[in-house]
Amino acid sequence: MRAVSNLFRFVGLRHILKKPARSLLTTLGVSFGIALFIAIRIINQSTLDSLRENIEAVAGKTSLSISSGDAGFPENKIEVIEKTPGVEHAVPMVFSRAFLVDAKLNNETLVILGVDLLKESSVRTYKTSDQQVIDDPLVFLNQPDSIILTHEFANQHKLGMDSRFSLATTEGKKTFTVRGLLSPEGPARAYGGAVALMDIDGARMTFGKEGKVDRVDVVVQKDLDLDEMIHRLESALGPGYQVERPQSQSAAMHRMVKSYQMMMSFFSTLALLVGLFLITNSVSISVMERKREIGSLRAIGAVRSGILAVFLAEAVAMGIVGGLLGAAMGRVLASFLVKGMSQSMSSQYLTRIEVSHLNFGIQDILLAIVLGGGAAFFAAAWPAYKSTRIEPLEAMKNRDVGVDVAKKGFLRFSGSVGLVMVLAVSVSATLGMNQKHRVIEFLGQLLAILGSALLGPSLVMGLVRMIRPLALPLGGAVSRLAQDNLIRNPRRTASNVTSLMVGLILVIVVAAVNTSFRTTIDLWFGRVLHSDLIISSSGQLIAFQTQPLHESLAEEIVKVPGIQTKTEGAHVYGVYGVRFGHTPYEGKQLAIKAYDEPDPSYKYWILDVRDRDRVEAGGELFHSQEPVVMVSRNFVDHYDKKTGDSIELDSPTGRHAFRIVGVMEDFASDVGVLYLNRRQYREIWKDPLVNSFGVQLASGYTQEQVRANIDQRLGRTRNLVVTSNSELRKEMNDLVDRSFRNTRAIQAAALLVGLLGLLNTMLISVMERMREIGMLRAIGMSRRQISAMIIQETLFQGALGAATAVLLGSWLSYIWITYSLSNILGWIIDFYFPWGSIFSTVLIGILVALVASFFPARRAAGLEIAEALEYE
Amino acid sequence: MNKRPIVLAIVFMLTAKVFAAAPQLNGRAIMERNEDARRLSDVISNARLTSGGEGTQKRVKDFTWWRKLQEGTSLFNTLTRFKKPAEIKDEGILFLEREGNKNEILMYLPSFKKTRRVESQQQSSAFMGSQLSYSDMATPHAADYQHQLLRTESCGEGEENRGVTCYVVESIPVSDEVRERTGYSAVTAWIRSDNFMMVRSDYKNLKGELFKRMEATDIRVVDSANKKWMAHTLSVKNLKTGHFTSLSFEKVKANQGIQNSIFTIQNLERP
Repeated sequence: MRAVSNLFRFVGLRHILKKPARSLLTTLGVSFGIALFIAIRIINQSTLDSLRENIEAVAGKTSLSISSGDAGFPENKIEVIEKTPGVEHAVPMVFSRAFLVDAKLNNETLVILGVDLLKESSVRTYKTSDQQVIDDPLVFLNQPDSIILTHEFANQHKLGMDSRFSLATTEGKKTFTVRGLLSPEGPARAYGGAVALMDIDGARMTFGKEGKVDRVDVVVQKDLDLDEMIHRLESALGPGYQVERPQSQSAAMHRMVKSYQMMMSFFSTLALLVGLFLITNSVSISVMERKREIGSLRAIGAVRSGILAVFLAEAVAMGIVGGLLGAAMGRVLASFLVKGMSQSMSSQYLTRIEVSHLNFGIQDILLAIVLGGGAAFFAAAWPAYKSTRIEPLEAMKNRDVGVDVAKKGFLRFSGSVGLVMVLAVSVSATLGMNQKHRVIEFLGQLLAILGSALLGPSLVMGLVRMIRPLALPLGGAVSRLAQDNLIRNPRRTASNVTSLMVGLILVIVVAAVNTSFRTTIDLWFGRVLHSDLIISSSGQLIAFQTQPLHESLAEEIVKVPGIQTKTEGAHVYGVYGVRFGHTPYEGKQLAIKAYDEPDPSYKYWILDVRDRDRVEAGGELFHSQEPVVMVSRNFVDHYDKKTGDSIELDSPTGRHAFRIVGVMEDFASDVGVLYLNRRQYREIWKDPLVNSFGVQLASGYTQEQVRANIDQRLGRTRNLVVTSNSELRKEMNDLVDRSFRNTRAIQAAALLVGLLGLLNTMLISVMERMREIGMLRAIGMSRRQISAMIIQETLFQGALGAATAVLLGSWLSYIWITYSLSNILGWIIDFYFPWGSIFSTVLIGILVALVASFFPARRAAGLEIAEALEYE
Repeated sequence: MNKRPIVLAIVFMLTAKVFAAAPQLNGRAIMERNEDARRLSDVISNARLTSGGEGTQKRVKDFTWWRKLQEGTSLFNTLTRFKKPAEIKDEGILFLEREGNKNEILMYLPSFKKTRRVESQQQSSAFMGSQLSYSDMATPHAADYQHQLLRTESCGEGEENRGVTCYVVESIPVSDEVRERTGYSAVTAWIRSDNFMMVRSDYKNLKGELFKRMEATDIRVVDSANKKWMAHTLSVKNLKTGHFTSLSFEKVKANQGIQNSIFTIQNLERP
């Protein structure tokens, strides 16, 4: 042990310090990978914590919460709950999200908790600095415009007691008066302070929930078993009600964001993998470079395990330092990425997700250290082992480095092994084996990444050999020399470009996922979106983050000049409403879209039916007397249902069986989307609200004319926003882009690590060839020519890395998107080749190489002939 | 002559003098007398509630007040109907005292045409933004507390109280239910020895901290036949925040034969 320790101290550590630039580059490479990993971890964890804190803050002393989907349930059920034995207090709540409509505050939302302030103290505590929440409860309770804000929100928006501001409501724009201010305690801590209290009756009136409650919080008597209470309440209320602990709501929120978090974690792990290759590369080169030193040590009695330990310890030391640096950088990176990631999740899950604070603790630092050290250990294991196979005598001969060591053992077969892995994954995915078991899925992904990484260098070598006959005649003497350097030692070339290649593969995978999402959704949108104009309240229509409107508004819209109408019997077609919501199904939340029947002469274009004739399916959806539903493709995938099957859905009016009349495409939920006829939805869910109205233009009218007519007649009073078909489509594309905005950070980190890898290996390559460079200088090559040679060599390597990355990245993305993505994310997405990104990837690869070449080229050009010739 | 009867008579006279100087009533008896002195069979009055204090806007509310003793009990029903300001016009609060701390408080909100129930836990909190709690608005019952006479002292230097001796009685809730309903851990009351009306009360919160003081002034006989009194002005000050509330009654009419139907939800919802 002592001998190993001395070996590390006098050999390993000395080497690290002797080569500060290389050590620094390797360490930085590791730290970038870890930084991204830690940043994503911090954000994921903090997001979950914030969601949990929001739920806990609003839950207060609640033992159990009772709800029945987005549409709420009749308030007379409170009495049933109160009378259930064991219930001490039952406190109702109406929950809504309101949009601020004043110009300067537009698109900001407030979570509105409509609570019974005369009962609230049983469950929740509200505080202000003077212990009095409401200045005048008599006024507060009797005035529907009364609202209580948090101090934080009020200060942010320069509002105070008795200030007035406007919110979008079911009935349009409405002005509210601040009649209380809350200190950041209890529910006021939730949603980053963007929370407001209204009295329950005011909230019901304002947000179209007359006679309803969204949830009832129950405090049960002491020492009662909660499971027993759940059973009692479920029996008392009947089907259609969810009775759950507040913790279960946290778990449900966790399940909701899990897929997005998994995707980000997957990408960040890939970035870490790029860093891993950098270490493998660095240690491999170090082994080759120090062959004589290893031989000497072995000759003077160092044992093989000692040599192994020295190389491993060197790598682990750099890994640990990289981990520490990565932890610090990760914390900084997280603060830059958190807002974007929260917005992405909010957009994807159609709910506002905000991270109030980032949690970063000792456990993150420890994880970064373990990750850095462990990854380094793992990455260095093979080259370190190779170092122990060096025979002292052979080493002392100082044959050309990089030939003998690399050619022996596993590396000789690594390409073949990689190819086998890639083929195995392809076959497994095509046969759908990955969908049968999570372990196979996980193994498949691991093999795909490993296989690509192992196959990559062989592909580079193959490419080098392929271009050898073509390349040499091209260019001048310097260019030919540069090409010759690559071709002469394809293994070294392959080794040099590995890190960059892996980085670029990651760039392509992320780009392919982005392109596939965007194209799939855009094409789907093109198929289903034919309304000329869509009318909603302000907010984000595409994400259904708008204030729902009352259905009666349709009667006013239909009178606006320029709106096409058609009468068939007693039915007037012209304006069709869409209600968006959620409903529980087998422990998860499904998205519901309930449609009014559009004019049948348009052949139900809103339905992208996949398994039968659209008109037939649409006719059944809108005219069936029994409850029917259309389900999305991912619902079928998750729940193994088909047209003709029945599903049972809970609603405030009980449990109802719905016959599936078709399978369609929709991307509103990663779990599944249900289309209902709004007539049936209204009857069963007792919900008269809609999120938007679609209209067609009457002939002779332009969009602008009708938009102006709507604005003039209804817009100002009802706070309506009229969006054209093309605007909505653009909004959708922006939404997808926003969702993937943060993946750019992952791409950047991967490229940075790739750049460092190439820079590192090129520097080493220059050092290895000092004598050769000295010779070239001695026979008349100018410094400029040397520099140009190195730059061209690096550029060629960049191009090779990019070409290989394009091949492997495309394959990996195809396999991942086609066979794995639906398992991980829940959405079924078609693969679309990211042509634009492919070109940019090649360009980026070359650019990265150009940047990476600068320092080695300068170093090579700066060598003195005598010094270079003396170098061994 | 046998001097023994004389000595006994002197001893008796002396001890009688000593006993006469000491209070003759214990805490409980004093508070029962206090409850009795203000137990009107019914009363109608106009009232004004004024609230304010540092950093707050002064608010004035006018209301009419009906109170009636429930037959055969010492419990009251009370209806408060607000008249001013306009934002609260016709709001009503029906307070139905019940045995065993099960008081019912119902509030009618005319904007919503709806009656709401105030949860029992809420009853210890402030009455409509004032320094009075819902329980202050109810009648305190001697049986809800354990009383201890602390001392007797002058009732104060105010014109009404000058030269009057007060019993100082500390009252501790008899049960956790009473503590929770009232929000008080102890109340110290200054009770006039002449008419047994309270002139001052100090309240300790559940943490045992003195936080509120109430003073009753303008104490008048409102039912001379039955010797029933009523304080026409109650002033309450929060000693921690400095906020105050004043409740003043005028046009007080006792024994008007108020119908029981006044104290029903139907009437509450019919302003």
